[in-house]
Amino acid sequence: MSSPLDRLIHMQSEAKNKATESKLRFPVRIFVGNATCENAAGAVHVYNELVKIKEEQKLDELYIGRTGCSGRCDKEPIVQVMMDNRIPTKYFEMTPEKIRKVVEEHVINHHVITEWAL
Amino acid sequence: MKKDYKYAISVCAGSKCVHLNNELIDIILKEIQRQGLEDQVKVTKSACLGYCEEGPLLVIHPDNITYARVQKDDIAEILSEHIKNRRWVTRLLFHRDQIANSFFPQFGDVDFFGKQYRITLRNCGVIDPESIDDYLAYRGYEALAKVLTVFSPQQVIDEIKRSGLRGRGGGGFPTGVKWQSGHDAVGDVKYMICNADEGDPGAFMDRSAIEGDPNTVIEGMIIGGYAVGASKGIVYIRAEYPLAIKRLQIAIAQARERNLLGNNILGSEFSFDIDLRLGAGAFVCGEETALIASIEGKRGMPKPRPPFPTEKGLFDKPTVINNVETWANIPVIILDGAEHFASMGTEKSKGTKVFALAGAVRNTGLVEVQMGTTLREIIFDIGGGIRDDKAFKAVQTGGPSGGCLPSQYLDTPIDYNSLMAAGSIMGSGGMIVMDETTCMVDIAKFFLDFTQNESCGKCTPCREGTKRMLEILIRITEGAGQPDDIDKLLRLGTMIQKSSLCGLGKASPNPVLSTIKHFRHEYEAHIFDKKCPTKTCKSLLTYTILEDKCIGCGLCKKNCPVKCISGEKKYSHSINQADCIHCGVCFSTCKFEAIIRE
Ligand SMILES: Cc1cc2nc3c(=O)[nH]c(=O)nc-3n(C[C@H](O)[C@H](O)[C@H](O)COP(=O)(O)O)c2cc1C
Ligand code: SF4
Ligand code: SF4
Ligand code: SF4
Ligand code: FES
Repeated sequence: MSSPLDRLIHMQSEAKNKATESKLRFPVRIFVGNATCENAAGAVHVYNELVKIKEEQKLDELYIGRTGCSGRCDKEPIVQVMMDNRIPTKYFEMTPEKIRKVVEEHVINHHVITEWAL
Repeated sequence: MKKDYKYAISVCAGSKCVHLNNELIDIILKEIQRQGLEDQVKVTKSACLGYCEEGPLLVIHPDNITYARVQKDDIAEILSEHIKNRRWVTRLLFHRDQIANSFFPQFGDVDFFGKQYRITLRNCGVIDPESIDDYLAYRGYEALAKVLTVFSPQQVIDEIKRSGLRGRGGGGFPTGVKWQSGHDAVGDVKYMICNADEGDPGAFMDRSAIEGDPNTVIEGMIIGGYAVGASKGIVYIRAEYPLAIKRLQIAIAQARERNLLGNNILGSEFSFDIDLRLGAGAFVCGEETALIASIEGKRGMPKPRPPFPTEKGLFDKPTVINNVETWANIPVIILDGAEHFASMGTEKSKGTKVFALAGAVRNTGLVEVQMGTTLREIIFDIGGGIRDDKAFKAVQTGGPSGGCLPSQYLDTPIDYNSLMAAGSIMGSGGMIVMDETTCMVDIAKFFLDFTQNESCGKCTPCREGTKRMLEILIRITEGAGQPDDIDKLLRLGTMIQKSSLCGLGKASPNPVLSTIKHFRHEYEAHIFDKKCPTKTCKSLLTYTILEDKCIGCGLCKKNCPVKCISGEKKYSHSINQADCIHCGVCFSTCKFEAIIRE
């Protein structure tokens, strides 16, 4: 009989594999805040726009995910851009127009838009 | 010439580290040269970081990454990996085994997050709250599996007691002690309740915590159930939180699928399940006995204690009730150990506290800081100071049950006892910062109006007393204050504090009493001079037209709702003060700054 801890460790390693499979294998990962406050600030529109951009531009290396709120209420919507081997960047007060620019500059041209980053 | 450094490596030069670090600094400087980074990196020294046993410590700014036990041979790697390749040297990361604060590097945004320490919010804004896999991947449910495997229920309770955790719902009661009485109480059925009623105006800590990481609350409750011997958990959450409710439902369903809830959890003997109950949103229903009555389908009214819920709670069974944030701390205490938790904070208050920082600060938001952090650090470092360069006036903690503290209390360390001693309370985490334009009488009126509305009416002092106090405050702000009104407020307030049944009534005078204590002169200005020093209370303002500035355009006359302004076109106008209703319309319409307000 395996102990609860053994079972859990097994479950965790499956979860990690799943995470790697579904997220980490993408070289570019963008996370959009998704909470009552974020959504009130318009995060859903930003998310939808990202999905649209990914389709339009066939950005197969891009993963789009969601997270809760990290606490920066006055600066929402917050979008985190993670790319392999680079420090994660957080963009604040995102709009559908701005996220388009972030994808173009940051993801494609590897150029952080510092005025919009926290 | 000033160089435009991108990074600073700060080396601890405290007394314990310094003898090792002088040599280290030399090596760092040489290595910077060797790798050609001298235009990018500078080296600075810091004071003792308080982790001497982990030294030598290096902190790299602006990433705010700390490396511990750094040896000479590690320097080249840190510089090339961290600075050049922008990858953390995980092997040396400080606290790399802890789940508390584990995502710190990812938060970035040093101004806001630099002084925070995230235990309960560790995953918020990082993981996908609707995926139990995300939670599992970051050591989720490991604390539960650990206690089921190697801890007896009593050992869990002892661990929580040793951590010094106190209830985060406002009262600050020691959690381990509460669990012990639940454990010791005799009963065939026992209940665990999570209080997610969060009714303070402006508070949203619990909502964000659940929306960001529902699983940590659930895991905490299961561990509590195991410790106390309960098989049933209930989350009482307000119906106005649909997204938080949805995420809890998703998390519960996913946990059941994985056998983390239900019968024989993870193959053990222990069974536990959780249901939700939606609250209708009355503030008093957050009080534990009223909450229990509400779950039982009765009117949400407080009952006298004892008996305490741990002896006779829901359906008269032993019941342990804790706040959302209290529950969210449990998995971290189990995994990182009671000692780690107890190493943070002050003598009587351990760990961290989440605050919803709001009001006149530059950065508003949700912050989690170690107990013992000062109000000044929260407001001026994390909050970025007062917006629009105004002056700080007061900070309100504890919502309608708390008080306002003026600037001489800014260096008060956050802790249950010190806030109480200063005349406020920790409360559940509301923190409203006020600048020089806020009227303290008006604020007191706002909070009292709230509690007065929310009083359940069971006892007279609370029901009638708060009404009387509110009447007095209203008349003070309307210019009809009487000389003995301050004394009357003090007398009524003390009486209500002493003779109310529940915490709502007992604490309701606090906003008034604390503002009288610290801002008595403002009350006096309203009462005796009929002036509101911050020009907030409209009835106390007078509007006068300056003869020499008025060009007689007639705009004010046209807009005055009671037509009390007279004057011929192109000649100076005047206000008939007897009829003026102090609405301020003329003041904001005049384009020539000819009207003054005082
Ligand atoms: C009027 C009133 C409202 C309360 N509202 C809440 C609330 O919204 N959330 C909460 O956790 N505790 C609230 N409490 C405190 C609870 O009665 C209880 O002490 C708490 O849930 C216990 O959990 P803790 O020990 O983890 O803090 C309230 C108390 C009073 C008197
Ligand atoms: S103190 Fe107020 S809220 Fe509490 S039981 Fe009495 S009347 Fe009700
Ligand atoms: S609006 Fe100003 S300038 Fe015009 S009549 Fe009134 S006070 Fe005079
Ligand atoms: S304050 Fe209002 S009522 Fe009084 S004079 Fe101006 S516009 Fe008229
Ligand atoms: S002297 Fe360096 S951490 Fe204390």
